[in-house]
Parts: sequence; structure tokens; C-alpha cells
Amino acid sequence: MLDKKINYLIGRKISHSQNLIFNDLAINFLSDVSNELRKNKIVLQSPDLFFLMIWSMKKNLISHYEKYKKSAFRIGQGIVFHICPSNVPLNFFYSFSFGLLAGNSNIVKLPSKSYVETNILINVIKKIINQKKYIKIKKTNIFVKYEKNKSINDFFTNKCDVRIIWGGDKTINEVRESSLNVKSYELTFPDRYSLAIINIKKLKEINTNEFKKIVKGFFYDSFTMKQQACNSPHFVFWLGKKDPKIIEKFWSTLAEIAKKQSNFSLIDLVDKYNHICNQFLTIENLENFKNYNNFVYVADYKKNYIDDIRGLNGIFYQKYINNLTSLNKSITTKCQTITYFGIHKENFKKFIINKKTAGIDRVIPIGKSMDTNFIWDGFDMIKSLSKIVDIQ
Amino acid sequence: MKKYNQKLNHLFKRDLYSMKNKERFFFKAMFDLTKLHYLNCKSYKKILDGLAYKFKNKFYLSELPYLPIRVFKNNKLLSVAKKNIIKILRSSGTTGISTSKIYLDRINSYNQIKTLNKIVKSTLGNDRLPMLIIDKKFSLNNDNEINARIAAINGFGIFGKNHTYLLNDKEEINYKEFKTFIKKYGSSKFLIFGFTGVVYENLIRKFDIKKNHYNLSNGIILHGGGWKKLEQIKISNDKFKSILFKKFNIKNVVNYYGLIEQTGSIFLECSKCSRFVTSEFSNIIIRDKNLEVCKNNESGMIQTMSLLPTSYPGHNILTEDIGEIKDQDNCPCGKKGKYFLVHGRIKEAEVRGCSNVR
Repeated sequence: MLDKKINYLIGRKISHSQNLIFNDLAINFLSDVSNELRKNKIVLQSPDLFFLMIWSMKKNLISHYEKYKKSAFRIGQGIVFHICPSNVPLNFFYSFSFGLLAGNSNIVKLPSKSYVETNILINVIKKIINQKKYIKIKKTNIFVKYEKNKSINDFFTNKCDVRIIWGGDKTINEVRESSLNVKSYELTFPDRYSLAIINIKKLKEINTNEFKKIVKGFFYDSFTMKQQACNSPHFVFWLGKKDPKIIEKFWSTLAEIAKKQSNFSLIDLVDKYNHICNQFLTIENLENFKNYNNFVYVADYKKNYIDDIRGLNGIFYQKYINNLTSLNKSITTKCQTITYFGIHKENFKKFIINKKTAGIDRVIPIGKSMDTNFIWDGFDMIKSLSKIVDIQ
Repeated sequence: MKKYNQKLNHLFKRDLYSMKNKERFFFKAMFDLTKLHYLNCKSYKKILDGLAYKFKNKFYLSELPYLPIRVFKNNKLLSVAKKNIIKILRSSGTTGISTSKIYLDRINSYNQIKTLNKIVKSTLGNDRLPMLIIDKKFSLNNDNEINARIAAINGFGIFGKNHTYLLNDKEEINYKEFKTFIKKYGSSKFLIFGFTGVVYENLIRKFDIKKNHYNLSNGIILHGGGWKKLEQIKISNDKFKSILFKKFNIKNVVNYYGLIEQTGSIFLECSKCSRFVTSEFSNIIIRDKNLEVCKNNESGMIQTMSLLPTSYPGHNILTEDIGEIKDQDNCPCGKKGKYFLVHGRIKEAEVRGCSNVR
């Protein structure tokens, strides 16, 4: 009965496996996917696919291996069940890759919506996985699609040693109704947001070129994923004595860069215009709106609690603080990344230890929020999906 | 409000497509209307304040503020007291989850009818024609909410008489009714009205010509409501017309473009150049992805303006349709106005959410 409701895209029966982390077969498989993508011209037109292609190149994967090489005898946990978000076309591949590189079998639930990019990637995976040399991978990995269904969640949960859930709070709670086996565990990746902190005094001290570099970095952090990734900043917290002139310069420079470099389609623009107009109507405590020719919108947000407001495609909110401790009033567990300028990282260490909530998983200089590594939401994805077998 | 309505009344007395270079006149009226809504609609004021709009009495139509069409979906926008609302128009909502609601008071509703009347008569003539409606007969609910399809049939219904519905309650073609209608009225001018998608589905796709061959050469088809449903099968306006001609010998097919948010001031297709044309009551601007104004022959988002909305701030709207202005004031048909094409809806974006590509 259940089988009828499950669309098996790749594979059907799954066998348990526990391989060494970064085993050759896994690395070769992922890099072959990258090589196959390279042949497809459409990839050049899709920034997301292009990025994924670079990411899964052998050279990149091996560079990450260096960090784990010296560790103890590490193998996969067994079967990882990935529940990927329905609104992100390619997230499933990253989740799957971590599972595979950590030495596991994988059950990957793809977005139930159909995306062009997802289909291209699935066809590539299908092609590679059917090669004789990857027969072992074929037997230990399946890709499925299904509409929300507790019985199917039960079915796959029952098989898995680790469950990964991506998505909104609602999805996570729904999946949690399917209880895990006693020794199994799960990682969750709920919706998060990010913010930037800029030291006004330091920003005034730097020369024009350095100033531009910082704004460009901020542009890169926020516009690359159109403010829709967890690590895109929505807020700027200005640290120190308020200086309207330098703040104005920051936003107008950002608008100039956005004018030249942002690659919005008509619908992005309409979404943005619609988003800002709706915010004017529904959000209280917004003041001092600035509109930089529709490239950048900025408003002061008067409330301390900031979980209820988000930007889109270049809409930002700002607050003013005198010291890092004031951040405590605003940060909740939903805050993922802080990007910063002009603050010593030791100050953040003190702040992180003393803060009152579980928020903040990354603190990185402005311009680096998109850098890839294998630490996601504070989890080392390889270590989190594998185990040490103590052999003495 | 009274003063503005007097101005509007003055407009009803004029020729519909006569004013050359109407921008200056239109600007003044739109400016007044913008102020009127700013003073009377709190929500509208919030948006304009948010956009940091300053009322400057200088002549640039493109600088007047416009609302994204989706704000009518999530918000209740009213510029008169709620007790004065007599009718609520609701968008059909076939594509989105939520529907827009447009609040009309007596004067606004009356002006819509009056304007629609003026525009449609410019093409159909003054006589009420026997009318074949390519739809089923909807029963009206008791409440005062009306969806777009019913609103259009009711609105255009006043131009016809002997209303006959082609479809039965199950939305199947009622050939018997059709035959009776054609026998009675087919020998002189008559009107066929329907939504573009419904006309396509029934007259072009389903209608069985073998058993029911009739000459409909006296018919005028008036259709609108968008090509969205037809986009996938890639049928153009020309093809649409040529099939109707081949199948039924109908020469006169007129498309109209209009928003439920701006009911009344619709744009009719010109019989000479097959482009939509603005009237004294309407205007359009095309904008690119930076919201800057496009030149003629450049395709972008259609912004439509209407002088009619007084009970809700729907006078200046950025639609999600793509189009281009071809020319102005110089069609051989003699109508003065902007001539434009509508290419369809903006492609929906993929909702990305958190891709976590780090």
C-alpha cells in the first residue's frame, strides 16, 4: 500500500552500510557527478547548479578531508534518512553528500515540488549511479519523493540510524511524530536568519577602497542568495556613536553596487516591491525609511525582538547599539550567523559564553558568509553523521 | 471627493479617444486622486510614507506612486467609510491561494458601469445586441461579494439582451440552446461574450462543428480575462482569431485587457492594429526590472492607471503582466492613446528559502 504513494526516483531497496569517512568510492562518485554536470550547458545558466558543481569537485572534497585525516577510526552510523525542504531545489544533494562522505547509506526525500534544477541533477545522479563501478552505492542509496505522509515517515524512520530534517518548525514537528528507534538520533535544521554588526568608529577610519571592499562583502553576503538563505543578513546593528553620514554612505554605496551587479529577474523585483509595501502596512515600529531607487530599502526597527521581520532581495533593517551585550535583547535561537566588521573576535568569544540564548552558530567577517565548509548550524556534518569505533 | 467626481463627470461628456497628448491632463487628475486616497485611506498613507513619497506638483506621470497588485490580496484597502460599501469584487483566484477584494461604494460602482458602457459602445454601437454568453449561468449569492467571472458577465451583460448561456450547469455545451439562439438572432448582428480561456475551451476545442454547422458571421466576440490558461499551449491572439474565423466564419473578435482592481476602464483591442488602446480614463507605463520606465517597443511590467477608483486606492497599480507599448496617437483608426501589447504573466520565481550553500 505504502509503496504506491512513494515515487522511487533512484533505487528501491536499501542495504545498510558503514564505510570509512571520505572513502574513495564516495569521493569518486560525487566528483563524477560534478564532471557530468560540467558537460551540461544549462549548468552555466544556473548559479546554484554551477556552485554545486564546483563544490563537488574532487579537489574541493579532498581539501576538506585534510581536517579529518588524523582523527581516530571513523565510520558511518549506518542509514541516514534525509527529509529535505520542499522549497529548495538543490539542498538535498548537499545533505546526501554529507551522509555519503561520512560513510553511510542514505534515504533522500526530495522536494515534493518539481524544479528544473532538481530534475537535471537527479538525471545526472541516475546516470552515474548506474555505472558498474558504483553498484555498491546504488545498493545503499535511494532517492524518493512523496507528499506529506506520516506512515511513510514512519516506514523510513524505522530503517534509519540518523534522521536529518530540514525545514520550518511545522515540518520538523510533523516528522517528529514518527518516533526514532532507541539508538537512532536526529539533526534538525530549522529556519534561521542572520545579522551583521558594524563598528561605526572603525568604518570611519578606513580609506575609500577598504570601505568599498566592506560594502561589497556585505553585498555578497546578502544579495547572492537574494536574502533567502539562512546566512543572509537582514539586520545591521551599528555599534558605537551614531553617525548618520557614514551610515548613509554605506547604504548608498550598497545601492550602487546592487545596481551594477545584482542579477534580479522581474519577479524578484516585484516580490521585493510587494514585500516592502506589505511591511509598511503590517509591521509597526518601523521608522526612517530610505529607498535607494528600489535597489536597497532600509528602515530603523524600534523593537528589540526581531524574529518577526525579514527582508527580501535587498530590504534591510537597522538598529543602534553601544556594546555587544545589548545584542542579548534581540538574539534568539533563530539567529544563525553574525557577520562583522571592526570588532575583535576575542570580544565575540566572551559574548558567546555570556549570552543568554542558544542562538549564533557562526561569527565571521563580513563578506565570508557564503564560504563553504562542513560545519552547518554548528554541526560538523562529517562527525555528526559518523562514529568512532574504539579499537585498541 | 466631490470635486474630483465633478471632474470625472466632465470626462464622461467627452469623446473617449480624442485627447492627443493627454499626459498633462491625466497627470493632474491622477495627482488629485493620489492625494485623495492619501488623505482618506490610512493604509495607503502608510505605504506612501514608507516609500518616502513627497507630493510635488510637477508633471511626471511616472513619478506618481503605484501599488503592487498583490497588496489587494492581503490587505483591506478602503478610502471611504465601510458603511458606504455596497459591493465587493473578488478576483477569481484560480492561480493564487488568496483572492483580492475590491471595495466599491455607490459612486465608484456607478462610474465603473458608466465608463465600461462608454468604452464598449465605442466598439459595439449604441444598440443592445442579442447576447450569447460562453459560460454557465451563475446563481448569485445573497452576500454582496462577487467574483471576477460573475462580475464580468454581469458587467458586460448590460450591453446585451436575450441573454443565452452556452453551457449548462455541468459546464457542458448546450447545443439545443445554441441552435435556438442562432435561429432566432443569427441573421443580424449579435454579441458573443466570454472569458478567453472559457471561449477557447468551448468554442475552439470542444464545439463539435460536424453536427452543428452554423454561419456565425454576424457575431462579434468580446473576450478577456487573460491568456494565462492558454499560455502552455502557446496559442497566439492571431491564431485564436483565425481558428474562430475558419470554424464559425466569425470575423469580428475583440480582446479586452482589464484588471478586477480597475473594473470599468478596460483596454479594448483596436480593430485596425490589434493592439490594446488606452482611453481617456486610463493610461499605462511599462517598467523594467529596475522599475525604470521603458521606451516604446521595450518589453517590461505593465503599470496601469485608472481615473475611476475613488472608494479604494486602486488607481495606480503595478501588475504582474508583461507587455510593451508600440506607439501613441497615430493608429489609422483615429483613436488617440497608447497602443500596447500584453505578452502574459511574469514567470513565477522559484521560492528558494534557505539553500544553506556555505
